[in-house]
Parts: sequence; C-alpha cells; structure tokens
Amino acid sequence: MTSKDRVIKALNHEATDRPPVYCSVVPQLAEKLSDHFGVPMEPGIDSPMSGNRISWRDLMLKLGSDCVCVASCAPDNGLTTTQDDGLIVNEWGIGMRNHGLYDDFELHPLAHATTIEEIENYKFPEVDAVGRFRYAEETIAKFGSEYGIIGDLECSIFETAWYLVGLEKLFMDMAMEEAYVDVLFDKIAHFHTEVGKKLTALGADIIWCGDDLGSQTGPMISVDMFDRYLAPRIEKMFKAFKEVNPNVKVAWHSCGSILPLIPRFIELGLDILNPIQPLANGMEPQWLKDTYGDKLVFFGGICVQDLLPKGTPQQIKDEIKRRNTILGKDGGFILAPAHNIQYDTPLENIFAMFEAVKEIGEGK
Amino acid sequence: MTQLQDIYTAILKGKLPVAIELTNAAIADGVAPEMIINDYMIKAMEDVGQRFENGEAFVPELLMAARAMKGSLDILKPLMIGENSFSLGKVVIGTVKGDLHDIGKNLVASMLEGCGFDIINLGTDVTSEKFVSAVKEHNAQIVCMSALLTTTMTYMQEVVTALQEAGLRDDVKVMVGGAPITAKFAAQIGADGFSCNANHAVMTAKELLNIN
Repeated sequence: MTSKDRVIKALNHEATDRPPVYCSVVPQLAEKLSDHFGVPMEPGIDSPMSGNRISWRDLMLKLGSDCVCVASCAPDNGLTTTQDDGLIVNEWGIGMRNHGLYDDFELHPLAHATTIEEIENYKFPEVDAVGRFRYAEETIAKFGSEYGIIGDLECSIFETAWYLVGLEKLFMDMAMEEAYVDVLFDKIAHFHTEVGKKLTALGADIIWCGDDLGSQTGPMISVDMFDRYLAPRIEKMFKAFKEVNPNVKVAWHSCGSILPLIPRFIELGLDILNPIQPLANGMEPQWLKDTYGDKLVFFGGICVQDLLPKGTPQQIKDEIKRRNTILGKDGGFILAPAHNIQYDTPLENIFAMFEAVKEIGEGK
Repeated sequence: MTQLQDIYTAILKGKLPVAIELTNAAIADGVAPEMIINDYMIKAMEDVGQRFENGEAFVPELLMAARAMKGSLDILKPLMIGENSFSLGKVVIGTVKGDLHDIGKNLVASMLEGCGFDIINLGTDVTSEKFVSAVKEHNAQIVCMSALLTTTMTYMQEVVTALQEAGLRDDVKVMVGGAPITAKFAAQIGADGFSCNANHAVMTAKELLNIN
C-alpha cells in the first residue's frame, strides 16, 4: 500500500494497515534533524502563511510522513525581505521580528484602518504572480502519485485579517460592526479561494484551510459572530474547491477548543477537522469520534504541549496507540502532531512517534 | 438624574461613548465616584466576566467592556485622591522572559483593573529582575505571570526563586496562567494561585488577598 492509497482510504473512512501520518516542525528542530541524518540544513521556503508547514519536506519523508504539503509561496516580485533594523517584512507588508525561537508580529500594515477606502487602497497580493505556485507544481509532479498531497491554506480569513490590522483591534471592530471589516474579509477570502482552487486543480487531495478560533478553554468568538462574519465566506470557499474537483477534501485547522463551532463546520461542508488539540478543553477523542466520526475525518491528535516535549518515548508510543484505537477506528484519521513540533521536543520522542505508527502497521 | 443602572449596562455591553457620557452626567449630578465604580461599574465587569466564564461572552465582548470601563475610570480616578482612592490591591503583571504573547495577559490585566485592582503592567519578555524591582517599587501584593510557550513557562520558577532570594516571597502572592499552564505546574513551582481565564484570575486574586 502506498502512502497515497493509505491517505485516500483514510479520507474515505476506510480501514488501513496503519494510520497515515503527517508531520511538521519548527526550523530549529529541522536543524537538529538535519544534523542527525547528516544532511545539509535547507533554508525554509518563503511562504508567508505556510512556511513551516511546507518546508523540510525531505526530512519529513525520511521520518516516515505519508503526506507532502504544498502551498502558495512568495512570488518572484514579492519575496520576504529583512530590513537593516532586522524587521522581516513579507509581501503583505506584515512585519515580524525574530526573538530567539520565534518570529513575532511587530508591524500590522492596516493597524490604523477605519474605512472601506483604506482597505480598497491596500494592494493585496496577486494570485497569479510569477513564482507563486512553482514549488507546488514541482512538488506535486514529483510526489503526487505516491504521497497524499495537502494544499495548505491556513490563515484563510480571520487570521490574515488580524495579521493586517492587529488582533485586539479586529476583535473590537468586529464587535462594533465596522463597515471595513466585511470588505477586508471578502478580499482576503477571495485571494485564498483563488489559491485553493489552483492547488486543487494542481492535484491536492486535501485543501487545508484554517483560522485559529479557539483558546485553550473555549472559542474566542461567539457562534453568532462566527455566523455573521466567517460562516458564509467559509461555505463559499469550500464550494469553490469542490467545483474544481468534487473529490477534494476540505480540512479546517483551529487550535484550541472549538466545540460549539464543530456542528457549524459540518453544515458548511467540512470533511476533516484539525488538529484535535489534546489539552484544549473538551477536545476529547472518544467523544469526538462517537459524535462526529461518521461525518469528519480527524487530522492531528498528538499533543505538542505536553506529551511530545515532556513524555518518555514509551509514554508517547502508548498514547499514540491509544489515540489511534479511538480516532483511527474504521479509518477517518490522519495522525499528526497537533501543531509544528516545537524545539523543546527531544529527537528520540519524534522517532518514537513514527516508531509507534510503524508498530501499529506491524500489529504490535 | 442619571440612570446609574444605564452605566452598568453600557459597561456590560461595551459601549464606550455611552459609558463616558453617562459617567460625566452622573458626576454633574453629584453622584460620588466611588459609588459609580463600586456599585455599578465593577459589578458590570464581574457580570461580563461571569458570562465569559459561562461561555456566554467571548474575547471581543470582554475587550469592549474593558474599554468602556477604562474610559469611565479615566474620568473618575482623578476625582478620587487620598482616602477616597479605591484599590483592592496592587498587581504586578507580565509575560515572562522569552515570550511575547500578551493578549491573554492583557485581558487578565483589564479584568483585574476593571474589578478594582491597581495594575502595573510590565509588558512582555519580562525578566525576574524586572518582576522583583517592580514588586519592591510599587509595594505590590500580587505578581501575575503569563506564558503561552512550553519553552518559556519554566522561567516562572526562576521568578519565584528570585522573589524568595530578594526576601519578598512572604509579602507577595504569585499567580500564574497561560495556555500550557496547569494547576499542577503552578503547585510545582510554588505559586499561590493558577487561573485558566481572565474571570477566574479576578476570583483567584480576591481569594489570595482574602477579599470577599
């Protein structure tokens, strides 16, 4: 059974020899893994919203990933640059600064926007700019027949919007129903819809949309606010991908606890829920599988907050097997860390995750 | 005469201009500032906090209420000097060294301020030295530490140790919070309190200072 077969069967809720796996890591871990495998560390791919998801593909395949992730990249005329003062500015004009392990937001280009006119005047990236899909095209041509192809489209609407205006401002402007918010959301949704359509046409098996809508304890916004701003745009987006390929599956990523939103997502046409963050309030595997297992594929499920960084290899293996028994029953599960694996995770723990999967395949 | 209950509603619903207008009107009518704050504004913040805890209000609603509260407090506080000044206690708050995430921490700060505490917000990436010197300088009763990252949460232990070494640990209560923080972790590092959300933080702070 090829990785591709395994992924497709899992997506169609059919049992497989073992669950298919996807994995992504932070850059500092990629460096450690490169050292471990004795290969040169490759630079991360310049993709403003998807860098860590798509970079270090060959390392992930070496570990045993069944999926290859692609996304739109910064085009030739919109590469991310580092200014003399260290500010890293991408093609959206969003500025980040590196603070050791992480880059954090410093410049929100629409931080002062209050009017529709300011949104109209902001130059959104062009979908068809030269180089946008070069990596996706090359990767799908090379790996598309053998591996599950995930087209990453995270930060689909809400997150890109807050990167542009700032999170607290966006929350308050949504609450006040400022007119510019709808225009901003429409324009971002349009860009990502076109990107997702292109990735679908290129051959992605999954389009992985997402916005983080949950905190550790519950949703950050009400269901009413979700219905008002996001639901109609998400539904339109999902439909657009299915029009290009009715067999493409749509996934949604949201960190945290989003229990009240899950039925909404199912109504909107969602096929796959990611990442089932284990320590988030109520994201309990057995309950999720019992309640939504016939409608949703679960993608993720392996804790990066506690289990992977702090567990022993044996604890990790045991927990992965336990989770697979629940979430992977009769297919419908892509096993993955609940986010990019973080730098505080020992390499042997990552190997333990993949060994556990191998052992499941061997019936151990 | 100003309808004081409308101030309550304006804060609860996060209506800043209305809250400011009604606060000014109440002052003009001669209502005592401490009465406006204690009997209406703080109660409104407690209400929205409880709704947040119950899953009936969310981050935007909390931010809007805190913004309205702050607008009214900015008018009322200068009128309350000396004996009339109100404070449940002084709280030094910050996100620990190596961590720049401050949205949750700011929500906690806003709720504490809205519910009557004096807040000294040290921002993000705060070292143990900064926590210690702020506690000394402001004579704070509570230190609140936040971390979002598993890689930075361990620094909280260093702050607790630094407070001990500075001889301040018996004078100040330590509270911790943030996505990866658990009650167990709080106990391990010797913190006095843990909270998983902004409303709970207010309740914990009051408990630690024996305020009903």
